Amino acid sequence: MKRPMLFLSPALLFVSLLLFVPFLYLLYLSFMSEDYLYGGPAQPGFGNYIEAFRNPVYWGSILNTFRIGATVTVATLLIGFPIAWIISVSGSALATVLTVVTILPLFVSVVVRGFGWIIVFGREGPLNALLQSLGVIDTPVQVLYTEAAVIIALTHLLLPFMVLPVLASLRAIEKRVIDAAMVLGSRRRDVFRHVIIPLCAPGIVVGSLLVFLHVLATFVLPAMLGSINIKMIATLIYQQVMIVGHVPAGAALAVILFTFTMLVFALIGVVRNRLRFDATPLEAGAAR
Amino acid sequence: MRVVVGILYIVFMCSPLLIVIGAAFEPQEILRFPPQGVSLTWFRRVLQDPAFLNAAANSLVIALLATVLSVVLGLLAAYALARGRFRHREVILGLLLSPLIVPELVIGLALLQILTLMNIATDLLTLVLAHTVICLPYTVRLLFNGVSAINETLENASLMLGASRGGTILRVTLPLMKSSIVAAALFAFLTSFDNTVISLFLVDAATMTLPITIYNYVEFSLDPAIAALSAILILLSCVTVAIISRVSGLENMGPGK
Repeated sequence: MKRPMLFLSPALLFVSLLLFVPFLYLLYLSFMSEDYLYGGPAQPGFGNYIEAFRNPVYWGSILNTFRIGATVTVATLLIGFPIAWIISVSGSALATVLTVVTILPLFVSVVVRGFGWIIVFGREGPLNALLQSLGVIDTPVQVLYTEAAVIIALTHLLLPFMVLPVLASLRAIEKRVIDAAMVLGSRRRDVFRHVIIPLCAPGIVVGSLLVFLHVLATFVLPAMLGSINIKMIATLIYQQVMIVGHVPAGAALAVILFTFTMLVFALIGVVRNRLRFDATPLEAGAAR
Repeated sequence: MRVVVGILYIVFMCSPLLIVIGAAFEPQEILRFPPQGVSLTWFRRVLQDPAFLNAAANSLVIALLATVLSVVLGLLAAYALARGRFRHREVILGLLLSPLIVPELVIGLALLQILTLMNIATDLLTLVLAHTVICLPYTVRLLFNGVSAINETLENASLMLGASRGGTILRVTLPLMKSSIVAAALFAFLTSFDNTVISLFLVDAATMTLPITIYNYVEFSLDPAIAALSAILILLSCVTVAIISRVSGLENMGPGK
């Protein structure tokens, strides 16, 4: 075709007007003082950014997000790796069911899932009933609106982002390599540790980065299940802008959040190039 | 051992969804699982509540318009990217996929601020446009793969036999891309229909969407009405998954693919 730009320009114009321009304006706002939107003078400065790293509320929410991100990443790895392994070695029935239950929740609105967890974690809810019948606890414990609730729900939300890349790298391992190690007398445990784990390292690393990436920007589940008790970057931005009305401060936090996600994306790019991991079925999105 | 671990995983992944469905059949005004009886009261109530029906209608209209818009824009861009001869193809594709890498919260916040700056009131149209931005990466990518998968000699044959470029696109390219167009439309529809974070910044009382209605409702009261509504939505999700897996296979359903 002769004029590809003619076909491309509507989409490019669309993204420019509805994403790039608004983002640049947000960037501009982030350098303004608090009263700028209420008629104050335009005096650009780094005040909001300095505040973000000095004010214990802001800085605390950033640290909180990283801590929850690390916890959820480890949890998804501990659950996701064995599941990916089982899918890769099992017969078709079990493997299909496990794949379906991994993917299906992705298509259910995150608000609906958050609501499901509210029932599960309730004082009289199924989780407390189960723990009581197992004799773990005597009286119902408060789970809803605690960090544990947020971590469990995020682990559930983000497991697909661990299982699918790990599964892709497990499937890419040539069976001959494992057979060779076995034939040459390795024990199963050693094959696992010295052959399988290193060969699927790219999937583990990419999966971990994807999970962490999504925790960074996650909003709905911490807001629904943590309420005001759990402060993360995204919930704090929403609160600053929509409730308190500190738009420039929220804008600076949003730019910081954006920078963090870009750094993780860059890391994912490096891993994919360095380790030639091109089997990843996902980049982003979908977890909402 | 394998089977035990697998079953525990299935229980974990399904429990929040199954428990919502179970709680929806509760006859009393208490949100609990298991329900004390089986009743369709709450389904009836949800389906007669004007607030829920209105939100459902809004969500449906917004999702349909965002789907059409993002599929049309995506088709034009994907065709040009796959068939055009020009440099910087990767850069342009990257720009079109960039809404995926910006957190939705940042997109919503930025859009709200620029609308405020320009004194534009948020309405149904702004929601449609905002949703289209986040649907576009999915449609561009799925449709780009769709066009790329078509053997170009088929189009060349049509052109050589005297058909115009437009006629070729209409009668050769588009029919060959049917399944990727269906997949792109379904992804776009779901992305818009389920969107919470961007909508949260842009809805008002008149344009309330379904996810935001649930989000707000849960904050103030917990009764089985939301469970019944959620059960309906879960059922719809299952139907969509079934359709997508028929159209493009289970493997292609991974997020962002």
